[in-house]
Amino acid sequence: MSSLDLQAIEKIAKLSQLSFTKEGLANYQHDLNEMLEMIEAIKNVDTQNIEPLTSPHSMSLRTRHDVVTEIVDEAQQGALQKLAPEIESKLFLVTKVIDDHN
Amino acid sequence: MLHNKTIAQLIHGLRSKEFSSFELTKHYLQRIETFKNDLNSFITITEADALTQAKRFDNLLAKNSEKIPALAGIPIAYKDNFCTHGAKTTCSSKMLESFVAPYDATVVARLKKAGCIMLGKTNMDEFAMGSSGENSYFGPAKNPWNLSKVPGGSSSGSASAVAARLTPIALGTDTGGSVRQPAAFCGISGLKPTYGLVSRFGIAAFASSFDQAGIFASSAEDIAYILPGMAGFDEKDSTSVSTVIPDYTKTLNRSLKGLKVGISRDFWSEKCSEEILKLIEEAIKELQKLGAVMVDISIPTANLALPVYYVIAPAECSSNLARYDGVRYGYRCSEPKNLADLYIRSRSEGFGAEVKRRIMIGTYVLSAGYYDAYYLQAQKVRRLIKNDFSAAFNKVDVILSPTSPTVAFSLHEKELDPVSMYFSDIYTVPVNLAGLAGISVPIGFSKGLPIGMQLVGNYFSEALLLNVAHQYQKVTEWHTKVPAQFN
Repeated sequence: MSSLDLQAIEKIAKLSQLSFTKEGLANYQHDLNEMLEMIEAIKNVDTQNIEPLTSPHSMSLRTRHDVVTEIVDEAQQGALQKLAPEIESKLFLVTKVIDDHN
Repeated sequence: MLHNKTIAQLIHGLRSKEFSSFELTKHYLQRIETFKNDLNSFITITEADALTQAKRFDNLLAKNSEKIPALAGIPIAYKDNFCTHGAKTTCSSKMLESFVAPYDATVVARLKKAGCIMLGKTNMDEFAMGSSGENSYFGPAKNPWNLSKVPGGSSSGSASAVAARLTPIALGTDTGGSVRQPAAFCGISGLKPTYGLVSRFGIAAFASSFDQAGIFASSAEDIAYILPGMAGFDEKDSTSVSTVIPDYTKTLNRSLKGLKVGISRDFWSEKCSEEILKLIEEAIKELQKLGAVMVDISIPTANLALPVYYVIAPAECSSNLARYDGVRYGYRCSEPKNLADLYIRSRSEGFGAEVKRRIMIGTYVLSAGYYDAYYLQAQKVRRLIKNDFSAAFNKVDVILSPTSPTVAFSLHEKELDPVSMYFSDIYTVPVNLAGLAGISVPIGFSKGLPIGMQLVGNYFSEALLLNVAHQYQKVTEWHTKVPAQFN
């Protein structure tokens, strides 16, 4: 059975854009391995020639014409941007993107 | 008492002016206020707006206007993952603690147009992930039958509020059982419609190929009044199915003579408590007296449903929750050092433990080297489960089972073992995997705690499910019981 070591948990955390303390990592390692133990049951099922099911109904996702239908005026824009943590000149502010972080 | 009336009685009472919409709304708001600390069912109470709407309907009713919508004046509460314009939508998460949606979910807009008056937003497991209500950032809702027990989850507050008659109707969402299981734990009726029947637009996404808005009420008849107001094609939901929405109240009284009910005792008995099995057999006898015929069936892949669900649902959730990055809305960490720090700390500080667990396992099963073994394989097994249900529905009209293997467990009982919590949904999850319709109705009590029976129907068979549930409720009284403290 696959079992995740701490290094694997750290990698998953990085992919998930999450971080944990050392103790937290160990706790998640335990919990995730318990989940994996439950999930392992699917590996032995014969699924040769079985199509994956992506949605309960056979459907292709509907498409729409590539035109703007939602007209957002200044008042609406203001209402939407009121939700943002930081706004300046109608722009969403984040920390500097171009720097030397990994 | 007003809070013990059915939806039909409320509609009649309002139109015949036996009581006003203002009186009715005020009555429920007062009950919410009285019991809010005991139950913690509500996150937000929208008192001022509710009373304003109520007065508006009273004016319409006074003029005997013909433009009175079908559900005018009927109070309703929404699980706090339905976007409601002007009222907070928190998903019971620190991540969205102050979030106020700039629009209504389609379902909310439709029910508002139909005349429903929103009393408030109800407590839930964070981002709909949980089976007890204990994963809420705002503390758990309580079970009105025993305040030391969980109401179930993830639609914990909606179930708790209806069971305590703080609202006649509440909406929840059901991804793996999150309407049916809390309905069973709280002794009320809860419907999960067929996937695609009800629009998901404006409902915070957890697992997009499973999520469905569902209805809590004290009876199947009450649910039948509400469902047409919210169901039906929505062009804003790309998975919405175009199908005729009938008047579900018109077929409630069809005879059950000759109805074929599929039962799979082998599947239930090894996991279910003795008391639940006993009450299920009594419910079976009631249905037989009504003319239904029991047929032994088998869903051979049913025992794979939980593992499949806990691959696919977390995978979908890891994608859906990627939007919570602290940039455009939601929680942002203080003084981020750089963009990566902004993302990572906002998410790590904003999400609770269960949400992080599911994001992590979802990310893992989708990652390079593991995608085929887990995610792709789970999707193939999901098709086998759907095929098994289709084969069963060639032989039967509905499938019956317990809703949950146990009654409501104690608060904190399963905190240290999150995986054991997942087994609460062992009978409900297969229904979401196949996208079928399912309803839970109360069938009795064990040591003072309610027990529910699940009926599963083929695609778009809500009329039949509500008919069967209603006929059962006409010959039994479990659905009329209210906990003494809240009566």
